[in-house]
Amino acid sequence: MSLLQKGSRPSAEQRTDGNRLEAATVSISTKTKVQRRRPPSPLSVVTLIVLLGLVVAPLVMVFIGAFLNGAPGLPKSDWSLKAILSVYASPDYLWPLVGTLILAVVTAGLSVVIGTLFAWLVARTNMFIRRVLEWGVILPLFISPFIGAVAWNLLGAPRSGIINTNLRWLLGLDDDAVLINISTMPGVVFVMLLYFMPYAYQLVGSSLRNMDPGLEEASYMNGRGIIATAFKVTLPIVRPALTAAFFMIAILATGVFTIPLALGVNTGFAPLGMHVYLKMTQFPVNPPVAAAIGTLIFWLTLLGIYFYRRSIRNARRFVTLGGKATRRREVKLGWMRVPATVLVALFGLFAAVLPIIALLITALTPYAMTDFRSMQFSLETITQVLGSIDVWNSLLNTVWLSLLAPTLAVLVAFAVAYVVVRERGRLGGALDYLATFPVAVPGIVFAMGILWLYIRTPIYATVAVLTIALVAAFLPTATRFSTTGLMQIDPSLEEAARMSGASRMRAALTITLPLVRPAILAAWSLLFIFASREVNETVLLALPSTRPLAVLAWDHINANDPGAAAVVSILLMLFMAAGLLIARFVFRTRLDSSNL
Amino acid sequence: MSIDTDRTVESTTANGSDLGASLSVKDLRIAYGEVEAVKGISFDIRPGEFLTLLGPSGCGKTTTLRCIAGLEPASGGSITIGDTVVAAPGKHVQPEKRGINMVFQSYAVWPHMTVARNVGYGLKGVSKQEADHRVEEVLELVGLAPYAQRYGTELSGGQQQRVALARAIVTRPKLLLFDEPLSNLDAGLREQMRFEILELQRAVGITAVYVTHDQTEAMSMSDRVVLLRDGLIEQADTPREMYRRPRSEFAATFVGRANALPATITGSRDRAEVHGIPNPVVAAEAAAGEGASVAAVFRAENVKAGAEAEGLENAWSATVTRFGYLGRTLDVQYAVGDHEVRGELAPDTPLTPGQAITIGVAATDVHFVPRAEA
Repeated sequence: MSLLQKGSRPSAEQRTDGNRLEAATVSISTKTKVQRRRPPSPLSVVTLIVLLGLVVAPLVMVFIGAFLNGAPGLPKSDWSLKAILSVYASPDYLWPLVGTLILAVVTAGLSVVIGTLFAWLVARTNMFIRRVLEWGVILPLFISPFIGAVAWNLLGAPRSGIINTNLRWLLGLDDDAVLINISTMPGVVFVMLLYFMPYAYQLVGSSLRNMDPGLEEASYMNGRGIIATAFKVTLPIVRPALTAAFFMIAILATGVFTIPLALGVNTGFAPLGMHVYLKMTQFPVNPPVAAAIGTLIFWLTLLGIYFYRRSIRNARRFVTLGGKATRRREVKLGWMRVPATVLVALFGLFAAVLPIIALLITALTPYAMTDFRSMQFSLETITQVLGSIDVWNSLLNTVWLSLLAPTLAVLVAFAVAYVVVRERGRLGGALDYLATFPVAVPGIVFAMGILWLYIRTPIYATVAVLTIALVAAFLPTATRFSTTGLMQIDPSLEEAARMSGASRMRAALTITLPLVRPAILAAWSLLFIFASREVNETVLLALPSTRPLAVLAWDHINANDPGAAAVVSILLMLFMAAGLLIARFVFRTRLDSSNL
Repeated sequence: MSIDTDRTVESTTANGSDLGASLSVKDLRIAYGEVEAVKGISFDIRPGEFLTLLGPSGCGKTTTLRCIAGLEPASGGSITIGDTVVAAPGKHVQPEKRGINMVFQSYAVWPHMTVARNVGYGLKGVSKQEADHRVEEVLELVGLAPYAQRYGTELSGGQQQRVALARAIVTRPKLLLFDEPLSNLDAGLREQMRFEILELQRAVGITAVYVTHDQTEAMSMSDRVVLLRDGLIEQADTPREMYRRPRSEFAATFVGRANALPATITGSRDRAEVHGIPNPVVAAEAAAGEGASVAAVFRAENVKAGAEAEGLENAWSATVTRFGYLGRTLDVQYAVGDHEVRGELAPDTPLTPGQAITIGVAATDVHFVPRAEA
């Protein structure tokens, strides 16, 4: 038996290097291991090709489109700098650019402040009926910003809005009095706040729930009160979630166009997203300028995504999962208890209850009457809408879209997560970045690229092209769920399978997949909602034969038929609720505030 | 091991006639980018031998084990299991093709499977009847037969450890790897599992490579211990040799409690001068050449005091600086000149802090080893 001892004792420097390596490794995985960089695996290569097609190709089309003098694909299109110059080198779009930025920052800032306050009230205090009120913050997700805007136009339009019409006679004002006017920029911010704030609530709320209670208790033991603890301990710890929410909402608000359009905003200023939509759809159409504006938005959101990714990366460091399940001390609100409850309840009223009532009233009254004194109810609008073949065709399209898009998105995302988290191959970083990238691209811009990419292929006139667009749009969310889910699985569970003679494939199918199932199903349920209600992309891609319910509602709005739009919106909400109920029973999964 | 015993275990675990394979690691190197975690180590294991890789965290022991398992690629050198080269430049046999198995530190019991399905997972290409039979037998062996239909997460740490063990031997591996399997158990259970693992390994006759940072585990379980430090082998010996004759200051202090006084070898090579102590330290064996910087190493339990110290080759006047009662012994710290010396005394020895006392060590208990660089 020979035992050899080779090599010389390492120098001190080498040893420090070893320590640094160890320290660097810990942040990647719980065990002190670094995977050696291997050549790209077949899976990572295939995934990369898929992502290039899904994410990069449409974007490239947008940039090509901006340098043409007609829509890409048209025979007479030629290279031209006209569109680029008219957007980048003229003052015409400077004000919309600045305005869009302000709009995004104001909306995101307010959303984060209110969302954080609500999350803290629900998670930490003795506010009344917290469980009920939490639904007021979650329900707006099902209503969607677009339907919410439709409903708020019914409620708050300056002339015929339900609120104005009825408050006039209730308060004895004359017929021209306008109490609220939703068709203004503050109105747009208000509606965005109602429907984007829940994202901030979810992100901050889950961060609050995952926080180790001991951190706050230690602050109380050191003689700090509730306010000091909230500001000195709690807030800094949830700060990564806060910044993540801020940039996520800012990016969403940058590309917004459905809300101002549905609210009939007619002021001098229109956000950039609205310009893109108008240039693509309203006479005279000018696709190159739309594309050029799209690239302008793209640079803005690129900046946003940089900060978003940074904050998400930091967020992982702060998560303290698996702490002891000690009961958390409830903050006693004292006299603030009633005002706090009323505040959160008001939000639920504005975001969920009033919009649903408005939609129901509009669906049930002929000619969309709004005056309660002369209200007549009839099922005429409903029977008329449900009697048309259009609505059933659209429902079928929505079914296809809402089943296919989440499924495919989750599949691609799982492949991405597997390469990023487990293989850690050379392509991991690139895949991760590409899969997060669609966050930076507003739906309308992305849809433009998809449109030009597929317009001359047979799939253009099918639901498939909508599905492709949505899969790309959902990749960031799906990847986030899959990556977090996968990171929570100890790699030695898979290694144990390899040691027991399982191939890489068998280990992934029998061990990894069943264990990430809950995360994947949660992602699927959320994306099901997103896919059902989506209009930002589909509105540009759908043809009358392929349009889903949400686009049908949009078309009714454009045709100035709010009654039909309300009926379709209600149908859409019922569809989402039914889908989630089925998912809950089939998958035994639950879409609640903890997994969004 | 008698033929009879072989027979009884043959059907459960052993791989027919050959019990376990030999393992040969030659000049193994593992690098992450620029940094080499393992810098060229070599050792051989006989079939059926129990070898421990011991060392502080970051010494490369787990990396080495994972490389033997095939979970980590080698950047140089070779690994041979039995007659098969599994890793060599340009060659990497996938872990599932190496015919070995491993027990993980986290147990890695699959939470979505019952105990029986966990254990039976590796029995592919075996008839269901045969597989069930083998699972049953192995569960019987580790004492988990009543828990076969439970889920992994419903078991205690010790039971999960047994599931992992059962799962690792049911595939009849030629080589069994242990990655700090006991470090998550509490002290009492750890001691018990130590004996169970050893008993199982002896009964089955599998070759075992065991990784730990716990020297007690290494000493009590292994046929041989390979002490690693910074990716290199510091010493490889039987536990007894390693304890009695450490080859370096690091080996002396890492395994057991040892004193190491910095010293310089004098003309007579069994003596060394220690700064601040009047008489040179005497060892039974001669060391490296005159003037060499060494550490005079002796174990705490060999430091005698009072009357016992008289007549020993090394006797120093010392002061008791502090002592702690450990139940079986009294842990004492002395000041000798400006050096600290730790010793162990009978628990009822009357002592007071600051007390002057004569302490001594027999020359046979002192070794000179190369001094560790600062």
